[in-house]
Amino acid sequence: MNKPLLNISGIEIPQFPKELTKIGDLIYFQGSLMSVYKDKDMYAYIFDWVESNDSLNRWLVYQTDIKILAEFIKGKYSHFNLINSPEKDLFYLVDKNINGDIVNCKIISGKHIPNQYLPQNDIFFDDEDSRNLDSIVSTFRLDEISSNTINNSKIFDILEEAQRNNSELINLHIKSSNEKVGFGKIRTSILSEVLNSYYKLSKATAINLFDNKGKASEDKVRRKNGELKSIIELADTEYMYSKAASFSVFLKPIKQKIDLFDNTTCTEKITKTVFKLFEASLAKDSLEELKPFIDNGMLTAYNNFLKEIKEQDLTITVQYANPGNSFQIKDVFNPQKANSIMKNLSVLEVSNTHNIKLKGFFKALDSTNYTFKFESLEGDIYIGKFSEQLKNGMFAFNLQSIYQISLEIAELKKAGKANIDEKITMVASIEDKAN
Amino acid sequence: MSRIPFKYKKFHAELGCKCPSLENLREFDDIAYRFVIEDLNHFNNHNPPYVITPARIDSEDCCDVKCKGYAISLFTDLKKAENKLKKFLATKPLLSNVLGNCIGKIQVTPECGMVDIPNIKDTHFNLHEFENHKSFNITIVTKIE
Repeated sequence: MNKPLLNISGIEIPQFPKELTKIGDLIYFQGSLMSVYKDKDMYAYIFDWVESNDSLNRWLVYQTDIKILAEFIKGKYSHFNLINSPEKDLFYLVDKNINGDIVNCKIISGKHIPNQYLPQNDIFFDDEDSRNLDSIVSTFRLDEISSNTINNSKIFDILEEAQRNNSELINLHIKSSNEKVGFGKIRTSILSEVLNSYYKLSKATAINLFDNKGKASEDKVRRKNGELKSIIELADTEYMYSKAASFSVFLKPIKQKIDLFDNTTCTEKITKTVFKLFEASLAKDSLEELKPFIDNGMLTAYNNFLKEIKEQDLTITVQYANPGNSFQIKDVFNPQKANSIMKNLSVLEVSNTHNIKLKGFFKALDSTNYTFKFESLEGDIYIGKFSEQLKNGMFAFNLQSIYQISLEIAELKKAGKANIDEKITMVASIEDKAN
Repeated sequence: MSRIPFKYKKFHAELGCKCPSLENLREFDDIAYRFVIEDLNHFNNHNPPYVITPARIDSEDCCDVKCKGYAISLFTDLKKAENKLKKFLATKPLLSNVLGNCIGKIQVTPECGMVDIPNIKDTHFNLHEFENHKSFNITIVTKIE
């Protein structure tokens, strides 16, 4: 029995609207699998085989920009990128019979292309599979198109998007091999988890960069009183727009702050630090070197980001661009890479203790367990235990007075554990009678 | 020069050109590999591409290309065959219904037919079967998941 082809929503049209001439094949095996055609105006069209049954071959047909075609043939754009970038965002679904005649033709939206019709996102052109490639190149003069025309193989040109919007932009391009992420659509739960986990990573990095726990250094600027909230805002972004392409989200920082000393924005600093963590975590040695600069917040947020990728079987490309200085950066995560990095993070051992002095208020006191909750004047919250020496004296503390305290913070992470355990002990506390 | 008629001589004649070109063919006596469907009796496993419908024939193709449409696709190298199939299926998942998602091992002998020279890069070659060659004994060696 002849199995029907997949039923795809679209607008049926009586015939294919263009008269096309075949130029060559980008993929050929026992017949054409991906062919290039031209119309009378020398626009390029791709016929991408997607499915067949006993009587019909089905092709996904789309017009492509010759610059994108050139980059695809040069191996800089993937097959997925090529499908992702049709001219006029228009696709045709064409069924041909055994004589090669078109018997069905539909106009469809990219959103309705099923996953089974799409290539994986890491498939690139191989000239071994092609036929009459010289004809394709010469017909469209593809060798005259320089690589500067399209800068590099980005999912979208993030710098171009940033310049167009006159704003720093972060792009999260999300793809999945399952139904959870499709062409221009994504499950809400996935989108919210990805956005949330990336935000938490940025937030943890921002707090870490403007640390108040350790000594100020060249890389860590001690934040001032009341600055915590505004620092967290530096990591926050607002949703700008999305583009069809599995699912691609563009985010813009809600707050911009420029460091006058090196003329970079805080978002760029936060993002560079996040990417430094991405790179260092690929190997245990480099992760060890970065260890002094990682805190529990960053480690936990990073683990959760990677866990989301692994558990939901996602591939996420993270890109950032600053149109002010043309800086751009990109990294790609898939489940295998996430798994490998999580293994590196789990074997990382952290063991350090340091003391800090603070001023603030007790928010809670537990005389049964000898624990406290303390808020510094900068807005940081510390939860811990009183030292042996302070336990008996805790009854003198109240929730109204301002205290000067000394905390011992012990960070410990053993191999095999995902997070750094932080143990906070209050070792000294004096009421600040001056306030 | 081949004395035994080819299996698809009727189709060769319809092409109206020299098919197959015997100067480029020779005997082959060794193991070869083929993309196969897991159900080993499937029609596609035992027939050339232009006999499997619907064929992806381009009417403007030259004689040599059309002639190869009546030959069996094989590879001399298992790994290269595997890599090629993996890439095809990663590019076009539903190709598994046409080409299969397995690599089958076949013993090709001079009695099966005549072959052209394998491609240096991917080791692909074509077997033009003789009329009296019925079918292959295929053993699956790899399945692409």
